[in-house]
Amino acid sequence: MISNEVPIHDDHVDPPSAAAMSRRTAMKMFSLTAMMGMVSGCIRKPTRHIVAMHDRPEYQQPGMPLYYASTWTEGSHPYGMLIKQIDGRPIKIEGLEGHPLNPNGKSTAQMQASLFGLYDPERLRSPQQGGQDITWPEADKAVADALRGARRVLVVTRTTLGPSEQALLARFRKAVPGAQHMAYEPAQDRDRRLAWQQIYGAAGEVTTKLENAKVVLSLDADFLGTDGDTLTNARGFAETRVPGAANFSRLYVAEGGMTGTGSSADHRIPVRPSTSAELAAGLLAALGGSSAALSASATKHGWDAKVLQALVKDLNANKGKAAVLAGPHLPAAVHGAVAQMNAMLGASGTTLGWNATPAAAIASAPADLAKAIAAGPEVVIFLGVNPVHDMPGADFGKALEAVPMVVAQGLTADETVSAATIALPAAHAYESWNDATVTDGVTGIAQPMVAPLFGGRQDADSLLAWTKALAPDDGALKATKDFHGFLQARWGLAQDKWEALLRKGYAGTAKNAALPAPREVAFPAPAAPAAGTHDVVLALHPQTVDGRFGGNAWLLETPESCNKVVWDNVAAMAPATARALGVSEGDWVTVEANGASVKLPVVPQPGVQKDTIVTHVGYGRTQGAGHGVGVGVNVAPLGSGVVAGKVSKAGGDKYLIAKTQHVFDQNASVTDQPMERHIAISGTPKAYEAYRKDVPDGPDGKPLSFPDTQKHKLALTQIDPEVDYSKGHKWGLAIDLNKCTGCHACLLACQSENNIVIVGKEEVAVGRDMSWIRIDRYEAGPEENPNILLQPMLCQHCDNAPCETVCPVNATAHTPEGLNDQIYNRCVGTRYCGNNCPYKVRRFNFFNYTGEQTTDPVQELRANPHVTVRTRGVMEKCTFCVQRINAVKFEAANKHVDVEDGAVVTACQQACPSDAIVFGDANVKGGLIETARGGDLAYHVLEEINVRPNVTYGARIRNAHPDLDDWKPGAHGHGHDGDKKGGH
Amino acid sequence: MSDRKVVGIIGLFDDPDSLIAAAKKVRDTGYTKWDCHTPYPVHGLDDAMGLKPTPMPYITITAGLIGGALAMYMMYWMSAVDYPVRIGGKPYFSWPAFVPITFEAFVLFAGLATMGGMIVLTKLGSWASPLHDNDVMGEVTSSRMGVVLDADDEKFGEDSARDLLGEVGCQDIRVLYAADDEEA
Amino acid sequence: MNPPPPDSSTLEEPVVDSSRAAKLQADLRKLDADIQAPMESFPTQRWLGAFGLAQIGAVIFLITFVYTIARGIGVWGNNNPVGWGFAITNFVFWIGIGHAGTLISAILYLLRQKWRTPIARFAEAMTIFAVIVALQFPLVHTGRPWLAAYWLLPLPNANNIWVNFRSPLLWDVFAVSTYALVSIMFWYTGLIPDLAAARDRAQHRVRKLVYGILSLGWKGSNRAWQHYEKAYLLFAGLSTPLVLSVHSVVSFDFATSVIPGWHTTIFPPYFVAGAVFSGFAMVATLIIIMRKYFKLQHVITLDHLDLMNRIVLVTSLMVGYAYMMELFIAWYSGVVFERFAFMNRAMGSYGWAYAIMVTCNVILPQLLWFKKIRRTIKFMYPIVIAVNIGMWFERFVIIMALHRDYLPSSWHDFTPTWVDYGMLIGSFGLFFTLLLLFCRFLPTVAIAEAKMDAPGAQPTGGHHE
Repeated sequence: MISNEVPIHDDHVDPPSAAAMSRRTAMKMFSLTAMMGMVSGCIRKPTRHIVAMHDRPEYQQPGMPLYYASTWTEGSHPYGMLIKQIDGRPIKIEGLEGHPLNPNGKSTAQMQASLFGLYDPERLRSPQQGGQDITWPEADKAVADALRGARRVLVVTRTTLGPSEQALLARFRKAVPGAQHMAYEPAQDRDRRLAWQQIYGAAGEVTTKLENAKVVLSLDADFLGTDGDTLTNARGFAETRVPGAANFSRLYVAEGGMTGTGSSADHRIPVRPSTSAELAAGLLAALGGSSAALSASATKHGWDAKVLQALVKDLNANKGKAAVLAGPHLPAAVHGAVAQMNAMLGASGTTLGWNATPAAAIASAPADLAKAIAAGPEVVIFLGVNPVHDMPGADFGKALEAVPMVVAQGLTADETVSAATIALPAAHAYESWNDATVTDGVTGIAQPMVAPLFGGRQDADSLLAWTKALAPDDGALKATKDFHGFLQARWGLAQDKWEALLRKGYAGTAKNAALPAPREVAFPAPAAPAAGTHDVVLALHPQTVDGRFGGNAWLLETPESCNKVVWDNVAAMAPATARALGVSEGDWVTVEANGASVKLPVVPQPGVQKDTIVTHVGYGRTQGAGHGVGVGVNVAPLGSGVVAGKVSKAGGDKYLIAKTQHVFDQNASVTDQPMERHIAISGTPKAYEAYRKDVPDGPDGKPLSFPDTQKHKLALTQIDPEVDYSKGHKWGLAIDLNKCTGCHACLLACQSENNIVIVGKEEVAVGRDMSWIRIDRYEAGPEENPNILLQPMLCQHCDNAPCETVCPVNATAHTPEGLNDQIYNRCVGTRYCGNNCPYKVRRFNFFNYTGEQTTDPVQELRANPHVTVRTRGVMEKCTFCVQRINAVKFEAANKHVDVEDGAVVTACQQACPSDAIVFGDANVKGGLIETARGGDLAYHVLEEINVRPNVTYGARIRNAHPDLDDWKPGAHGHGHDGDKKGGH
Repeated sequence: MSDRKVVGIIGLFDDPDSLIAAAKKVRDTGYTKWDCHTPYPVHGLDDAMGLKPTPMPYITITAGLIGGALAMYMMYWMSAVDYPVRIGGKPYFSWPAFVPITFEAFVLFAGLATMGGMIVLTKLGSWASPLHDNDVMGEVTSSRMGVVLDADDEKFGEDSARDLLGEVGCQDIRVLYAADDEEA
Repeated sequence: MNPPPPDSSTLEEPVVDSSRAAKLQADLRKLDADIQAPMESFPTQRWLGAFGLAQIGAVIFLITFVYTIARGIGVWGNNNPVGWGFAITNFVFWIGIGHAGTLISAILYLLRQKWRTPIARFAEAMTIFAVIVALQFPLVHTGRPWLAAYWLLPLPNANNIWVNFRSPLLWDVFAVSTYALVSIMFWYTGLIPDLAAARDRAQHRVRKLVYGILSLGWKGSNRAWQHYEKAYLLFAGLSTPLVLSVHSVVSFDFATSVIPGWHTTIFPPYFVAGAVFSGFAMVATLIIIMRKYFKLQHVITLDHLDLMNRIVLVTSLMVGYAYMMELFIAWYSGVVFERFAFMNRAMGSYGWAYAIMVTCNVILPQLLWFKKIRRTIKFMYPIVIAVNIGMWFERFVIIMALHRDYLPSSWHDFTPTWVDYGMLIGSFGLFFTLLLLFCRFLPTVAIAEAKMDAPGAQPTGGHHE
């Protein structure tokens, strides 16, 4: 089922040892040397060799994609994956439809970007001892010898071991009596899991069914971005974001930093994390009927009392349809109170559920790990973890020096692997067999897509090899060749059933247990924050998470959702705080906590609570992160979660901060009089209701849509005769601003699908980022707590495309199906089209950015062969995934059927976890696009210049509570609630 | 030196009035093969010599119109016939956009024709001239003005020509001989 | 055979005033000598110094040019919102400079402005060199010049696709190349009689040969003068609409776009006026040096400079009007994007450039209202220099409309790199190299025309029959 005929390029990067010199390998060796000669001869492209696929894998047809079901094992939640493989190389990741966790086939940004990790040229290529390459047998022998007779052995693994891996680990521990296992994760929701364990009496995790929620309160829980089962959260949440629908939900967020979830909130209260316990307690009491405490602390901490009153009202009014979520880094007391609240609100079984068997075990405390090392084990084995870099607090690397034998297996020579006595190259998840506990009652299976590119070996295979070496008499193991065999034997399925399982990707059905009744646990009330300190939130990064993707250039160049910073982790603080500290963007601050101190560059971030500083973990890599080495600052020494820190201005030159967006006010002006642009349009329920009561007619006699009433609607006249698109297809796209949560999955899906290059920090800083789709972010209202509007922006494929008219060589033109094509091989790069694009979505190759991708034999494997790789001097932009359109059309043509509406799915749409994007054929009566355009929230950006864009936007209705909806009748043209100061 | 072949006679003047007078005289005498050489255009000399008006303007305008028409047709054929491409929702033959190039082509063709026509009509490109051979060219291109009577004219006689130029008060009359290499 | 008897009726005695004739001869010879002196004398230290300086500039241009083509446009400061930067600014600037030449030689010729004679030749040469310099930029600014050079022309190619005749850039290709060609022909036509004069003055055989070939065997025959003068007139007639069209077409690059600050109907006249403005300023800048250096003060007199300054003043008022009108229309349109574009132009990131532009182009030239200043070199010189600077910034300011257009999310400033500056400076080096060679080897004043207008050079009367 796996192609062993991986494209021959890995021969170049991993020459077979001379020992096993067969005729064929000999040829390869020659070809390798030939290529080296070429390279030294400054030939830009390496030589290619035709290798006949004489033993072609089943179903494999050159150039034709194959899809394999698998399971995502690189994250905290094992989502179903459908991996697209062409000619034996995985080139695209999608969600697996029907999977219990992501039934709508959606995927996260990290899933989309994971392919970069697979083809990362940084990956370790061979086992090493003391820096010298050794063979696997040598390595295994060395490890086995060390283990034999070792009294104390410590095995440190990820928390997300699959059941089979755990079973194997048990066998290993049987074989090695002194072995102790520790699950490690630098920034897990450990404290919350422990709190839940006490509250609900079992080591499970709270699951959400937000599709049933009408009111959601998040206390510092970034449940749409980095916290928990984000795909499930996003799907459920999105289902309730239909303005005017009965279940139109209202999201309250009380948070210290500014997160993607906070950006999607209807009402947001900046709350210092260390006071959140007080807030939770107050709310609990208020739900019980006594709101005195709450209003007291509201006045004390400057929380918006009106919002809190509305919130309490809302929660009480929506018993059984409300949910309260609390962030992982909040004190246990908060989780206790939240559990009580949810119980009072009857959330159990309706909006919240319980998963008794989370994929991730509760990680051991960093302190315990440190203790275990201090206890002096003879052998320490690290499998797929990097504590030397990201262990919070103590300098773990130092402690490790005392250990005589450190074995570390990892994808790259990261800090831990480099510190090891024996360094072993791991196989990537897409090169490995595995299974995972998806949720209670469901187990997923992960199958390799490609033979290990760099002769790596998956962690489990190492464990197996060592176990076999130490317990030669283990009869069952003797038979099993590798972990694949072990896994299959453990599942014990007949071949046909086994293959059926592989095709399906998972087994079993989810239990969806209800949330158990919470116990009254008397958690210690957290101490009030000490004066002169700030709450330093060491948050997960929305793209690189806890740093496990710290070497993933795709994710590193994807902007942080809120401040749009790329290639860095910064100290985000309220503008007021920055002013108080006398710093501005790019200046340095020193953050001191837990006896450690780090210097971070400042980025003022509207909406951050004034006593809170937010930064992200996992940066400041020093080894094995490729492009990620030296990016950002390692904040692990400060600890984890939220720490009380002293923040002071530090000297030093201004630091270059690269952002993909600089102006966040869509009404920006050079005078103090705002310019009303009506680009991202929003309204409030009252305004929307008023509009729906009597819908005004536009200048053309047709009824206006709600957003059109916000601006001065013009009657547009077309001078030229209309182009007739009524025959055949007319492609169009629609984006619902009510649903977009700014997770950037679309951006990475696009990057992977369309071979979009990364350009590096300096180029982004100059303004040359290449992404075809971007999430524009507009902030309105007071900087302390602005209202956020997110607007995905991509090529609008205008019918009257201004870019086409100005191209002197016809390199961009219109197809009969309404696509605005870019013909790369015709483009001479005048950049006139880019200048004349009102949406500025065209991207120019200022240098030969793709050079590496087209000449590096490893990286070029990653490229989607159905999309041209662009060279220097060429303009590029969104194509509406024309290769996907054609694939569907060809297939339909071969089957002699019509392409049905919705059959074509663009990469961004396919990934979008909240289903905000719809793509279809505008010619289909009552089809997806016609419906979207007919909606009374539909509008086109900049339609007044009559370029006739084909991307329809659904205006956002910020679901303000009736008591807080400050819309006044006659307040015409005030779509942006931000224009009316206050805005919350 | 008298054995050398006489190709003409030149009378040199120092001021335009005398030149004009001489020209008229020669014209009225009925010479056809004669010319005036001046360092700069002298007003009224054309009439004085009785020259027909130049056809230059017709050459220019004709070429210009042809150029403009060709350009418009080229653009029509390329954008609407041979390989029509849908651009910015405009018709294939969006003629208003084609006007600037039509105009430029008009000017380009007209300009080239003017240059060409001028070179042909003024017989540029022929370097040989008795004025060179007799070292008077330098005088007529710098300051003086000459009336040249060509020996090929049936009215021409060395003496009669001398007299004719003498009558109009020419002080400096020279006989133009053929270049040495023309000796038999 | 005998000549016919003189017919007294047709014979009218010429009034030969020998002293007048002698004076004319002297004047004409002096003109020849003075104007051709630089061509005949050995280059002086000052010329060599200036030429060396220009050469350094030209080399800088070459280096930056090659470097850009080798590495890519990325070596400039351009980015995604600001697709055009210095290159197109320089292009428009040099094309503008080019306009004065044709204007002086063509329009003033049609208007029978005798005073144009001494400066026309020099201005035309300047035009051609400016256009040559300008032409470098559209080529190097493309991402793939090796293809652009060919694909921008309506020629058959491997893609089997034709060029887009709706694109103002293509209009540029035709307009600018036509302008270059016609200007060169016009200029050369004017040179022919002077080359003949040079040929006949030349002592050295090589000089004689070269000028002889270049003059195409001009003999000063009146049968040639007749066609020649008409041809020259026709060229003037063709160049006049051409020169107006060229900068209009260049302005279409901006005017036909949808970008606020570019999408403006006033651009064509505004650009033409600006071109004449900058062109005359540049002519004055150069000719003031030249006349002093080549001792041509009596040929190019203060009156000429005065008249040129008046034109500078008039055109400065025109561009000033355009600046005002832009702002007014932007406000009057009520379109928020237009309003912002112009407020941003004056107060945004490049407000300083706008300030330079207004100061140099509108405020300073007002001093030329005073006769004293118009007629005093040391007063007028700084002003015309300022105009040159101001007009470069005008184009820069216009192009910088890109850095903040419709969607604030994609706003981004433009910061030039050393390559950008190198090309700007280098372009002047290239320009002066050509100009200095011209001063060395060709008559910088139209000799024939100068002679034509010399006192007593034309018949006194009685010849209008």
